[in-house]
Amino acid sequence: MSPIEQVVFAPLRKTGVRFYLLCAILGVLVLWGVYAYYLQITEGLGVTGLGRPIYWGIYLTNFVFFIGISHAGTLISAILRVTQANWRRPITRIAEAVTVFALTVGGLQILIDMGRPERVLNVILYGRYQSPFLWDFTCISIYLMSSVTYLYLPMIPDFARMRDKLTDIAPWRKWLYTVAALGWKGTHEQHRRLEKAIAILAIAIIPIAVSVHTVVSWIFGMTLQPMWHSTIFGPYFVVGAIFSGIATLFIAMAIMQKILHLEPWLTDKQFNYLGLLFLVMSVLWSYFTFSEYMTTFYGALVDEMHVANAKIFGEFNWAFWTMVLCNGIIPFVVLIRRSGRTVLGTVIVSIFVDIGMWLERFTIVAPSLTRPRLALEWAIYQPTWVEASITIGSMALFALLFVVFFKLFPSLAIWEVEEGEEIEERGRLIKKLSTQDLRAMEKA
Amino acid sequence: MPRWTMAIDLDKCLGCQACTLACRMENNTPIAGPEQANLGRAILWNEVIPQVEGEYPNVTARYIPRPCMHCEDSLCTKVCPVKATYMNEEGIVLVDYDRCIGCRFCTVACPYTTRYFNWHEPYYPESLKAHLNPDVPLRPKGVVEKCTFCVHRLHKARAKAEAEGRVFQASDYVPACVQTCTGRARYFGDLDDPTSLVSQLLKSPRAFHLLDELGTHPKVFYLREG
Amino acid sequence: MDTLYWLINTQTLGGMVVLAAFCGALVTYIFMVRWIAQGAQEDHK
Ligand code: SF4
Ligand code: SF4
Repeated sequence: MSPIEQVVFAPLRKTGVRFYLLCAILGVLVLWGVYAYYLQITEGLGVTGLGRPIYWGIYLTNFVFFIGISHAGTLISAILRVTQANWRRPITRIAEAVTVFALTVGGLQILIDMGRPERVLNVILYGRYQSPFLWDFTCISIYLMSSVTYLYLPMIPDFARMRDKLTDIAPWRKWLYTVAALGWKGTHEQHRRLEKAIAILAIAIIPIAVSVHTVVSWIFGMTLQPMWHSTIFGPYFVVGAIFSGIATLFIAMAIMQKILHLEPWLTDKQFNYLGLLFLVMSVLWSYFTFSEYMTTFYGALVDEMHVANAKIFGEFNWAFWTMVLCNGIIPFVVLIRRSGRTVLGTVIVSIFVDIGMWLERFTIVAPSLTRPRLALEWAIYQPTWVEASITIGSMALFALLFVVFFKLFPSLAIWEVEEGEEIEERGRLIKKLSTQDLRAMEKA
Repeated sequence: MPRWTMAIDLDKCLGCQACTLACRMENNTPIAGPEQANLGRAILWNEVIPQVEGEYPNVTARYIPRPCMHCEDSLCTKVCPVKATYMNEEGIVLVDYDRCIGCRFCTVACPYTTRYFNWHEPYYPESLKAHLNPDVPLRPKGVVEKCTFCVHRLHKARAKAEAEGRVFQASDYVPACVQTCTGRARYFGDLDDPTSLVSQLLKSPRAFHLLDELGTHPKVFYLREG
Repeated sequence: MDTLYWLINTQTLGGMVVLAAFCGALVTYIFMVRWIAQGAQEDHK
């Protein structure tokens, strides 16, 4: 086994107590969420803090948030692959896994939010396409399929390696790897086809991902509610999605770098370059936010102003200003410096950004509903422990899926990383050659 | 086909809320109780909204009774993913309780907040159970409901006219709130018939729609005071 | 205009679109994966 294989395969071969402990903790949190959901099913949605007119709350926030996070994989793997950025190689696998699991948990939120989840198939049986929900179902199912495939394809050569080189594992895992490797032989033709398929998918997945968060935003944008009915929502949501996606990716990368000893591959370079992208996204987000509120305030329509005031000065001001601090100010101040774009710097910023982006989704969903045009009085939304438990359970589920996945599958795309190293090596050789040649020519 | 329309004369409305009560009894809306009502879970298909303007001592108060507007371009039917809320041929917007998935998209889309969700299994006290209206189905938990213009009364009136061997007339059908209204502030009829009272009233300079600027074209209209 | 409205307003039609998108993606990707797997035989010829 090569050094990279040794490091990457190590956690797949030996499992420590820490792993089981982590799984147990996450499992308990998930079960707690399941219990809360069970209560909600039997008692009805009345166990939440929702009511009239705040029909949507934390669950929709989670939905938008998780679907947003799922844009991490797209950005990193697809855009960077298309632009042939070599430094992407060690982080693609992690990014794609974030995508798939965030999408799974995000889709689940819709089910959790429904008053009649057992009737979900009605969407297929009686679905009518004028409803933005149908657009969501279409785009999200295509995106889920695509990202699962996109995660799977680069894993095929790795499966073959595991099949051939991991001899000391349980038989069912051996069987799993053999089946998943699809009889991969690593021939030239197979490599050519694999690369081609990945290239096609990388391009296709970019518009798919953009469409996903656009139609998610249109759930709100297509209604006439004050501050929801906005043309900026599509791009605004997409930018926010990529932004929160990178944040989650950073956290995952840092943890895996430490625990799985991936320091030689997840280097400062990755954190620096991705940090730059992160900074760009933060600035873009600030720009969109500013434009949104600027137009609202300048136009000053009565109903919109009620909502805007609730966000900026009213009972949602804590969420709004924390969001501004977490998404706009902190990332800018830290990431603008080279010394901030380190592992520690990016992780700290990422935690803030994830909190900030969740609050951003929250301040989009809830305030507009508390200020309906016609009502006896303005409503107050107070989420209950059930909603909190289900939220924490969902986050734990995301982490659990992630942890178990990387217990079974390698954390780096080994062959891709090797390929990258080869390319670099060759580049170095050429450089060396040319300087020698130059000297020879000078002498002559 | 008739297009059923309601007119509410704000000059005549006393704010007595008899319409709200009549609607509850007619349509079997469940009891929420004070605690749940505080959380915004009371189900009132017809609500009388007081609008107070100005500051003491120059205060004007008006009451706006608010049923579902049965909008011609209704946002609720637009966003419903499964056609559980739909407009029938006579312009009445209805909910199919057996199909609704409880996504509450319609409830957030309706600008008049006239739609209600069943947060719990509906509850009726023993004393009320004997008086439930057999013509109106009880709704299960987890679905949306709202004013139907007492559509069961329309079906009944049609059937009755047929049984009696005469032609059904618009005056045969009247929703419970219109029938009950203490101040006789409500009118109901067919908008497609230019001679009907509602058609005449719509031409009045006092006639206006709620949130007209949204382009929902409500079929419930009001007559301004004064 | 009427046809368009009929298309978007008719029940089940939208559900079919979702189903078609889902199945379409699934089948495409299955074929894609199969094509890659078959690359192993290709070299022997
Ligand atoms: S008032 Fe609301 S519920 Fe009634 S038809 Fe209009 S949009 Fe639908
Ligand atoms: S809650 Fe029911 S009626 Fe309303 S949009 Fe959803 S499925 Fe349609």
